[in-house]
Amino acid sequence: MFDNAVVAIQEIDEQGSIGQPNAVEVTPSETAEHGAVGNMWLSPGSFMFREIASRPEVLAIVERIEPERHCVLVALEHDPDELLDDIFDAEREMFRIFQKVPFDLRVTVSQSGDALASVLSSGIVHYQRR
Amino acid sequence: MNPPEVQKYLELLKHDLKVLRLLTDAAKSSNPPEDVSDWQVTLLFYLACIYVKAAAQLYGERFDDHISLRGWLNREQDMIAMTRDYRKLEEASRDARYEGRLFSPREIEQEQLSRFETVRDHVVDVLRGKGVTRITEIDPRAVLV
Repeated sequence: MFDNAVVAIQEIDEQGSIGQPNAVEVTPSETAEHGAVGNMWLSPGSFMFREIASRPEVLAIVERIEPERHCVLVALEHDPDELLDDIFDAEREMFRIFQKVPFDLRVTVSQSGDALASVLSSGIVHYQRR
Repeated sequence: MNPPEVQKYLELLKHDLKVLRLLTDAAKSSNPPEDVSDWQVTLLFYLACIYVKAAAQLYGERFDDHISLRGWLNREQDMIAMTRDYRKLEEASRDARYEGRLFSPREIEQEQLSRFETVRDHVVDVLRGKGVTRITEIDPRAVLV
């Protein structure tokens, strides 16, 4: 279904701007049964990357593809309310877009050091703060 | 008369609040006092979850896992107003029980309790709107603050 989807991994520059390829203007409402957004294919993790990776509190966004679901982990340094609002608004959009791609979004402020290193080695790293 | 499947959850709320009180009192009276804020937040989340499950019954929805329940909360227009607060509380509780995250009294009072109350108040309104009477409105703030 979606396991072979190409997932974009992009750098964020010092000003927090996302690299050009992912800055393509897309309209989530265009098409969306399997995760196709406009003319782009996205996974739940790459969608979350697109929505929040430019925020300074984000340490990492990692996606692990399990048989039953995509597990998307967002590790934060702090969790201010307005950032959580944005993350869970994005999650709502993900439920609309990825109707046939089950996913589990995990948002944590407790992953650091060895625990974070372990998470980073366990899946697709969409974003890691340098 | 409330539908029995809704009433079952409303009764469970009372029991779980009692557990929260027992835990909190025991932690306070231990020497030295034990920080059980991780499980206090976990219980707060489960209280919120039970409110939601009670409401879901009225929409013909029964959930055996959190992911399905989240999907419903994000799609059902009657629920969307409190979904962010529910998810914030849920993720804090996952950090608490899986990562050992502890919470300061300020975080409990101003963040987690407030999120719980948003969920509770919203669900109580939905239950009332659907004709449910004798609604259990539990108050964990009286236990935790």
